[in-house]
Amino acid sequence: MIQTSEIKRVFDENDVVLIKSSINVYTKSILELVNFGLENDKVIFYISATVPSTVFKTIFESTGIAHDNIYFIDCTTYSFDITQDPNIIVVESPTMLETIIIKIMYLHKISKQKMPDKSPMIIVDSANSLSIHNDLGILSEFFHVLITMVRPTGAKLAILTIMEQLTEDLSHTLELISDTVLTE
Amino acid sequence: MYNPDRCKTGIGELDSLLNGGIPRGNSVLISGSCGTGKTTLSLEFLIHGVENGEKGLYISATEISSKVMKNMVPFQFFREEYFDSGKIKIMDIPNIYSKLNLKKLEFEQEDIDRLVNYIGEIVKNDGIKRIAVDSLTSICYRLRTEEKIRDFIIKFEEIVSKMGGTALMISELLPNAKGYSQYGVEEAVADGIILLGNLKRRGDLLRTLQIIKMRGTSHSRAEYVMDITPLGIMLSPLLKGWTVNQ
Ligand SMILES: Nc1ncnc2c1ncn2[C@@H]1O[C@H](COP(=O)(O)OP(=O)(O)OP(=O)(O)O)[C@@H](O)[C@H]1O
Ligand SMILES: [Mg+2]
Repeated sequence: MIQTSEIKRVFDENDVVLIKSSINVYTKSILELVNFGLENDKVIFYISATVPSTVFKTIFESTGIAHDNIYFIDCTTYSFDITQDPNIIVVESPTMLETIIIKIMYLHKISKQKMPDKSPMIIVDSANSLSIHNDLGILSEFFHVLITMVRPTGAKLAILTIMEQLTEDLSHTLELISDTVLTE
Repeated sequence: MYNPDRCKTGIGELDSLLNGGIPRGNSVLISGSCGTGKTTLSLEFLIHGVENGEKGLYISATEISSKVMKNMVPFQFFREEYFDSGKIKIMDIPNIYSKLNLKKLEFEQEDIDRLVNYIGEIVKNDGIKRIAVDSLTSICYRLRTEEKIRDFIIKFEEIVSKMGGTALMISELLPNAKGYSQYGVEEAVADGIILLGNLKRRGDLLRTLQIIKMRGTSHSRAEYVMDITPLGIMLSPLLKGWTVNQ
């Protein structure tokens, strides 16, 4: 599991962090990350491409994590039913990468209106899942554009990967766009 | 930075793609097939204008204006009071036609002049700086010939530029249309063209926006992905997906 002190150290020094986590502790690593974000006055934009956002909402609830400041961009649920939840935005498909970028910028704008002091922490869960639906070229371009657009907002970006499922190509592409790598 | 020569649309990143906004005095064609966001863009443009102290005029031909307004309620930028207080004036084309007693299915030259003069008077008397004609295409139906369409648009453009205003002229396209307007004349005489479209990519349908031409400024010519959010229209660069490691 990633230690909180390690998370703090890397995000103090970097904006874009590639996190390689073992599948056994993957959820725990996410919880650590989310906790770190909330404790450090961040508003969290959580991109769900692996597990539906509702599942994580339930997990956060059961572990006592206050989730008012967590917004989900969910591209796993092909239904608009959950759009009733003001903290969940549905993107119809994980291939609509531009739409994900726009939703992030949208969330940034509305959270700035509500909480002008908080800057975003964007968690991508996970790059492995996105890479199933998108080729490496477009995925790398997606991260480039995303980083260029969010850097001026003071955002932190955590790109999650499951170590056991990481191909060499994907790993290499993600390392190129990240400021640093955190391996658990 | 405020630039008096530019009319800021206030829409997402469009102003930066236009190098600061639409050059004042321009009449710009907003072209797109149905449901591509033409009306939303026009109203966002007018409402943002009021925030800049510029009065607006919305000329509605295709939908009843009260219905158009109702569709705008969910948007955060929508301000009903701007319409109630007359900062944005709404005119339904059928009402204008009946007021001017324009009954013919095909307008004569003098009908065109009366229509343009009528709009011109309102613009002048109310000090209007932003106009949206939604849609130009529906007015063109009554003009029929290329000459009359050209004449109408050029006269309309004169009013706009004389007032130091800026206009959006909505051009309705068929889904598989080749050009940017139904008669072809519209795109030639317009000062600018912004194209709204749909892009099919691997089963996804993306909204797109692209500036085709804009007299008086350099501008982006790339295709952008557009999304209609509760905050209004927002844009992202279209990802092209060049492949690395090959
Ligand atoms: N509140 C909303 N939030 C997000 N999208 C919306 C909202 N309201 C409408 N839309 C989308 O915008 C589209 C219509 O936009 P708009 O009316 O501006 O298009 P248009 O080009 O003027 O269409 P038409 O050719 O029918 O006049 C709808 O089809 C819908 O997909
Ligand atoms: Mg319309």
